[in-house]
This record gives sequence, structure tokens and C-alpha cells, in this order.
Amino acid sequence: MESTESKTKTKRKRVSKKTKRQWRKHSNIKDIEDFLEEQRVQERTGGLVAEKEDKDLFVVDSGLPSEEKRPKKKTKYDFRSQPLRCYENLLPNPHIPAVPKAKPRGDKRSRSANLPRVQNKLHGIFTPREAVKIAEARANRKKKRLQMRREDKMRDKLPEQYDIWSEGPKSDLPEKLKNADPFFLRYTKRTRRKVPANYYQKPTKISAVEVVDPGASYNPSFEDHQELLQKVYKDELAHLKTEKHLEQWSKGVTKWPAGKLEENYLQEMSAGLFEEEKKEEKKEEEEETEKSESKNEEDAPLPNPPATAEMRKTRKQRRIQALIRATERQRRAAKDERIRMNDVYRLKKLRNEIKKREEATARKRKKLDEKKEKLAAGTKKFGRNRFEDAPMAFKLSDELVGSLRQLQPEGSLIFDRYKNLQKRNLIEAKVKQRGAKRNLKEYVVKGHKGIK
Amino acid sequence: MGREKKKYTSGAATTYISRTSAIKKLQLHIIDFRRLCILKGIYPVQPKDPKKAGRGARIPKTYFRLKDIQFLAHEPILWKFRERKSHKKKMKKALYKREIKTLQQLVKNKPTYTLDHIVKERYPTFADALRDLDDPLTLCSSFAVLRKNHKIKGELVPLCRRLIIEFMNYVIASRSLRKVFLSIKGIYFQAEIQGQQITWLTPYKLGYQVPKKLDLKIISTFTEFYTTLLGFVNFRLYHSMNILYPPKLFLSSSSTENKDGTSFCLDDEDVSERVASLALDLIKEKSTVNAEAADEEESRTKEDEELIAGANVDTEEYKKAKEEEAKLNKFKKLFENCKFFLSREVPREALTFVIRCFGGKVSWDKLLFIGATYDENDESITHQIVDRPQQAKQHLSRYYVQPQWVFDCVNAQILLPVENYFPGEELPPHLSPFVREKEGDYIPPEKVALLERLEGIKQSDLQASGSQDDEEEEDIIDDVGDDVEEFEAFDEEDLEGESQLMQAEEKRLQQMKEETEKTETGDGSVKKARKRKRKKKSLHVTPGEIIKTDEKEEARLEASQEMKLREMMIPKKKKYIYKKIRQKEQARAKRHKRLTTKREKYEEEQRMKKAEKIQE
Repeated sequence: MESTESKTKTKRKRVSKKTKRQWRKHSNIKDIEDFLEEQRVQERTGGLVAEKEDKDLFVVDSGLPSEEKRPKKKTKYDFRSQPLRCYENLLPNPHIPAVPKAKPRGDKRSRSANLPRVQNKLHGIFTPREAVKIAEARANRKKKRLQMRREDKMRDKLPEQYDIWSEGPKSDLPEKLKNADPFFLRYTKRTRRKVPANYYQKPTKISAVEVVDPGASYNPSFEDHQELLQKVYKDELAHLKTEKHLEQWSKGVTKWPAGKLEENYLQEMSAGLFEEEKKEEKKEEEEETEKSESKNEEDAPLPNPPATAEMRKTRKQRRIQALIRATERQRRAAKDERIRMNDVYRLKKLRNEIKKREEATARKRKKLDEKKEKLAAGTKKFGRNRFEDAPMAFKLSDELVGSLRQLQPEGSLIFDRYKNLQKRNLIEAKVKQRGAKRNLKEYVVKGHKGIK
Repeated sequence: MGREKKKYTSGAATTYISRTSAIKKLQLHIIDFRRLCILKGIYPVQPKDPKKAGRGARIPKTYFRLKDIQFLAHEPILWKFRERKSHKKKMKKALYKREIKTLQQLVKNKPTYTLDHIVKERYPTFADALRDLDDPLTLCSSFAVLRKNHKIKGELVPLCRRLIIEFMNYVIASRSLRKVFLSIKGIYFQAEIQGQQITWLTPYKLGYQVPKKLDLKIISTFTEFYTTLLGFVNFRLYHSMNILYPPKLFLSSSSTENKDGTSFCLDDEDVSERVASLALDLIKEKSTVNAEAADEEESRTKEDEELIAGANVDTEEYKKAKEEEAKLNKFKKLFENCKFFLSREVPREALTFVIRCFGGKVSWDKLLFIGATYDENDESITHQIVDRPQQAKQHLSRYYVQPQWVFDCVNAQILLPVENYFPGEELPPHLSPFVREKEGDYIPPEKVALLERLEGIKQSDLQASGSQDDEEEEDIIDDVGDDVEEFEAFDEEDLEGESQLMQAEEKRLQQMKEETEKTETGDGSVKKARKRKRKKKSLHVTPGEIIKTDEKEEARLEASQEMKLREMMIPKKKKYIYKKIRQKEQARAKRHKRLTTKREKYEEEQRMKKAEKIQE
């Protein structure tokens, strides 16, 4: 109907409605038919609307929509109640028929023949092979249970109930290997390795618990307190001095002005460009330098003339020269020998000289050893960071309360321990690193909604 | 000529290994590597020449000895670390796949490791372990006061507390505490156990926060190892005293409930909490055996003693040692006859520990902590420790003293007079017992008094000499003619009420009279003498005078001359050292003088202030 209507609209078709048949065919009665159809629908679904009362037709709006209508808000953890996407394949698909269940293979013997064996099993009678298997399984289960219990105990950390220095640590070797060959144990890496040579040497001589100055007492005497303050003051002064020094040093570093920076940038960016122009410039320069060089050549000294046959030494000349050299060598050796022989008369002096030299080296060695020891006793530097001791704990004169109740402790013991471990070279001085920034992906939001 | 040697195939280049390559070699994560190093006691080293160790590169790196790393590679715990790593992966997978059952199973089967063998390896003998106990004790006691923290394993904090409490209980039982020092950081204790001096530091029990600037993972690994060590040490120490380990108590009433139905803790925590109160004696294994041993000690004959000492008993050294032993035994019973009661505001644990270490009895308010043994109204209490200037109700039968008295008594090794420590009184300074002055060093007057007391000089003698000194001082002050100061000199002598002041006033008046008399007579005599001198300028004969010889002065002179001669006899070789020693001595004397004058000046100032106050 609609299609025809639209057609009539677009194409005005003239039809005559002269006859009754034509009239019926072409007159538009859609609105009437629609109305009648609607009435019929209304009658089917609970009576005519026109005849109904207001309260049957409308609902009084009480404000909020009912809870059922409101869409449920998804919580953060809602996804947990849903099956995982990765397991969707494993869910039964109604379109695929189920695989028929495999029939158990069963005993090959007939049922009647198998019956006594089944009955035996029920009565607890097994074949020897089965019996062994069952016993093994039982033993395994017991072993596992015991192990679990032992580990449970360990987890609770019960107090250590044995004397490690008289009994030694409990061996973790399995029972079988308790009496095994030492060679076998060593090659299967079940023996403990010998400790390194300097395992028991302490990394420093600094004591583990350094007692603070008497001035750091909660109620110190006047002298002690003054002395401590003096120490702290000196420390602070030294610190300030180094800081000032560093500041001055950093002043020496030249800072580029903005214009120069830009120039540099341009130069860098244009590296390799405009080569031809530069080449021409270079050529000009080269020509100039060549000219100057040619001038210089005239003044330079002449090189040696090339060697000729006449210049070569004769054999005789060479022989004589060699002879002279040999005699000279001999003469010198003889002289040395003579001097050495003469040393017999200098024995006493020589002995003294040796003694003196030895003493000097011993002295030097001692000094070096002392220096080495001093170095070994102190804090060392591992890696990039140098150890920095925590500032001394102290209280100013007006902070001293003189009563234990009102005392406010200084510093933290754990931090103190941490620094002490560093000081004693047990751990490296570390500077806490901040974590890297989260790497977020950047993208452009498309569409007008994203633009504010 | 042999083959040319390749570079970096021996020497420093091969003895050291950088941290990164060590980690690669052991196939560990850096966190696990650090943990392993700490547990095994392998520490970084600083090679002499970093360029050689770095095979030509001078980049600052952390180095280890290659031998040490090879040693680490053989450690069975290494496998546990690897197991833990894969276990962690499995846990994560199960968690994300929401496989609850697998997760439960995995949690149950978490790979664990024990450190027993490492303890034995690092400390082959018990003495070694004792020698290194300072660090474990300090670290554990600072961990014991921490709050629960997500960065520390949950069981570590209570474990540390338990171990520290056990150790303190041992120190109490063996009476081995020697020194205490209240510093602004915490409390230092020093105990002597089996000939080893062990010093440790405990924090004050106040709101305690973990500082942010440190790596808790590292420090808690140290604690993990130290807890194992302390456990073994405690076991051994308890058994050396025949005490049951873990500690047990005789409890009269097993219920933890108070009268009003509230309770301090759960029933199964009762014993451990009461042990933590430090107020009760622990159960011994066989009490009879020890008693016999004690009897034996008494009935020893001289021959037995000789056998034990391995030398003659009559020698002076032996006698000296014996004397010292007696002194120590007396020191151990310092608070034996005292009964203490602690008020609410004082540090309970430290005081209980110190008092019980010297045989005293302690109790506190029932509501303060579990394990109070007697009430505040008990008439037999001798001392009550308070830290408030005014008390609501006072018992006449006991002294009320500030907590410092207990600690000072321990350091002085005698019961000090309580007068200076009454509540509201300005306390004498708390001196460090860890300072040892050399001969000729400056010693503050407070310590001088203490040392004199220790040597056994009677209090009365001290006072007498003190008053004499004061009189001398008075004379000087009279010359100056300053009334206020003189007044103060008396004031210092004994500060006890108005009667003394009145006496002082009278004395002063008397002295002033005498003075005026003296000056009158003195002036006349001087004038006469001058006149005589003028007259006797002409020739005359005077009777011979006996030259008075000051024996002391002469002796001193002679001694100094002898000293000089002896100095001359010193060979040239040793003269340098002698000179150095002399210089040191002189410097010390100079410092001594400087400090004494400073002190005098300070005291003078204080006196002036006091006088001003009184005048006002």
C-alpha cells in the first residue's frame, strides 16, 4: 500500500473513478482501515482505550524510577563472576553433538571367569604383584605425610630445640646416603664446600654497637654536653665548607647564552648541507696556504745528499773500527774488574751499606703496612656511592629536660643500624632510586566528543 | 722465550668479579643475590687497583672475590631460592586463573629453608657467636618495637620480641648485667657472659616509626639470620644454667583474667606474656644439681683452690683476683634487700630488667601490665620509682625516688644516697659508664665524687675535707671582699633549711669583726717596721738568722734535677719517643687546666644566679 501511495505522490496518475468498480479500486480508505484495525487490536488486548478510565491508562509518577529499571552498575570486580574468555572454547556448544562416552575396555576374560578375582579383591586377597604395589603406595603416602608435618613445624618456627655447637646442624642428606662414599658424595655435590680463606676476617674493625658520647646522655654533665656540642659544631662547619667549595666549583662551569646555543643548534642541524659553498671557500683558503708554503720552502735547510758508492766504507775501515770498539770494551771490563777486586778492602763498609739499605726498606715496609691497616679498618667505597654517616644525635641546651618522662628520643635505631652496616662494609652504600615513570601510550581521540 | 702472556688472565682481573657478573653466574635476581650474600656473610670488597679489577675500565663497580662467589654457588639454599622463584610464578598464574584449589595447595607447599647449617658455618664455636652478639641484639630489639608493616614478614616482629625477652631473662637469671646508660638515642646495656662483654642498645618504648630512607628488605634479611642465631644462642645459654628452654614458669593461677573479668591476653599466650614481664623466675631443669654445686664451692679446701687456679694460692695476684671476685659477687646482690614498686609513668621493662638483674623485687600497677606480684599498699616496699614532681598519696615506710637512681646505682656499683633523687629534685647528671679516663685526664667533679665513693672513702671524711676546702675558699673571698660570694660559699656547704643560714650569718659577722681587728693591729706594726728600716741604714751588726729550709720544696727540686739527669741518659734513639710522650702529657695537663677553669667559671656563674634569686 505504502509503495503505491508513494508512487502516486511522485507520479500523479490520473484515474477515472467513474464506475463503481473503479471508485472502489482507487479511492483511499487506508485511514479507516487503520482505525478499524487499531480498534480490533484494542479489543483483543483488554478493551477499547476510549472507554477506559484515567487510572487504568496512566501511572502516577512518584519521582525515582524503580530499582529494576535502573541499569546495574558494573563493579570493579564484576568480571570475576564471569567465565574467562580463554575458556569459552571449552564450554559445550549446543550445535556440536557430544562425543559418545568411551566404553571401558574391561577384562578380556568373560565375566563369569573374572568373578572370583573380583571377589578376592573385595575380600582383601591380592596377587603378590598387587600386594607389593599396594605396600609401596602406602609407604609413599606415609613418607609424604611425615615430610609435610616436618615442614609444617618448620614453618611455625618453633624455637630451635637442639644445641648446634655440640651436635652440629641436622643433615639434610637422605637416609640412603648417610654412609655413602665421601668421593661419591663430593662428585654428586652433596658435601659442603670448604669456606674461603678469609671467611672469618671481619671487613672492618669498627665495632657493631658504637656507644655515643657521654654528652648524649639524657641528663648530661655540663662539660660532656659542651664537648658534644663542640664536636657537632665542628662537623657542621666542615660540611658547610665542602658545600661552599662545591658551589664555587659549579660556578666555574661555563653556561652558554641562549643566542650561542641556537647558533650551535643550527650548525649541528645543517651539518652536511650546503657542502658546495663550503668547498669553494676551502679552495680559496688552500690556495692562500700553498702560496705561503712555497715561500717557506726557500728558507728550509737542504736534505742530505743521496749516498754514492764512493761514500761507502771499505772493509779495512770497518775492521779497524770493530777492533777499536773491542779494545775499548776490554779496557772497560778490566777496569770494572779491578774496582770490584778492590771491594775486598771495602767489606766492612759494604756490609754497613747493605744493613742501612735493609733498615730503610724495613722502615718503609712498616709504614706501608700501617697505612694499609688504617685503610682496612675504615669504611670503603663500593660502586658509585660513597658512604655518608648519619649526623650525630644531640640535644641543644634548652632541649634538655632532665626527666626521663619528658624525654624525646633522637633518631631512629633501625636507620642507625642500617648506617652502621654500611659503615662496617657489610653492605654497599645505596641511594634509593625512584621508580621509572609509567610508560603510557599517547593517542589522539577522534570525533567531536573528545574535544572539550 | 715463552709465549706472550695475555692480558687480564691472572691477578686482580681474575681474583675479583663484579656484582653484575656474579649475579649472572649464580642465575639469581639481584634481590635474592643480596639476600644470599647477607645470609652467608659474604661482603663486597674494594680492589686495590680498580682499573686492573675492571680489566682496563675505570668504572666504579661493586666487586666480590671470585672465590667467595664460587663458594656461594655451592650453597644448597640457592636451590631453594630458585624453587621460590618458580613457586611465585605458579602462585601468580593460579591467582589470575582463579584456580582456588591450586592456590590453596601452593600456599600450603611453599618452599621453606632453614639457616642452621649457615649458623654453624659462620660461627664454628659458641664463643664466636657470643662475640658477635652485639649486632643481633640491637637489631632484634629495634625490630621488636615495630608495628606490623607490609614490608616485613608478619612473624618476624613477634619472633624478635620473644628472642630478646628470652635473652633478657637469661641475663637476669645469670646476673650478668654490668653497665647501663640512658642516652638520647636509647638505653645501652652491657653484660658480661662467659668472659665476653656484650653491649646492646634498646629503644625507648614510644611511638616508633620506620624511617623512609632505608631498604627494609636488606635489614630484615639481616634480622632473619640473626633470629636464627639468637635462637641457638639462647638455647645454649639456658642449658648452661639448667633452665628449661623454651622458658616456663610456675604459675599459681593459670587464668589470665583480672578481677573485673577483663584479661590481658589469650589463655595460650599467658605464659609467654608473663615471661615477657621479666618479674618471675624461670623453672630450672634439675634444681638439686645446682644446689650441690653451690655447696661444693663453699666447702673447697685450700688445696682444691690451688688445683683449680693451677698456681700458688698465696701469691699477690691470686689474692687480688679473689678480692675482685668478692667485689663482683657483692655487686651482683646490689638490690637484694630492696623491694620496688614502679609507678605508671616510668619505663617499666628497662627498670624491671635492671632491678631484677641485681636481685631486687619489682611490681607495678595491676592494670599496667601482666605479672604484677604485689600491690602498691604493701608495707614492705622500700623504694617507689616515680617520675612526677608530686605524689597523691605517700607512704612513710618507703623512699620515693626518680628512675635515674636505679641506673646510677648500677653504674656506681653501690646504693647511692637517695636524697638527690627525690621527686621534684634537680637530678645530678647521668654519666656514661663507658668512658674511661686516662691518667692525667680531666675528670668532672661529679665523677670524682663517685670514684672516691667507689674506692671506699667514707662519706663523713669526704664531707669534712669538703668543709675545709670551703673555709680556704672563704679566706680568699674575704680578701676580695665580696659579701655575696661568701654567703654562697656557706650555702654550698650544706643546704639544709634556715637554721644553717642563721648559723652562717653569725659566723660571718664574727669573721668580719676579727678582720677589722686584724687590719687595725696589722697597720700599726707595718709602720713601725718601716721606721726601723730607715734608722738602720748606718753600719750595724745583726744577729744571724736561721735559714728556714722547706723540706718539701727541696725534695721537689732534687727530684726534678734527678729527672733531668735521667732524661739526659736517654739514648738518642729513644729520645724522640720520650719527647712525644712528654708532649702528650703536657697537652693533657693543659686541657685539664682549661676544663677546670671553665668549670669553675661556670659554677661561679651558677652561684651568682642562685644568689640573685635568693636576694629577690
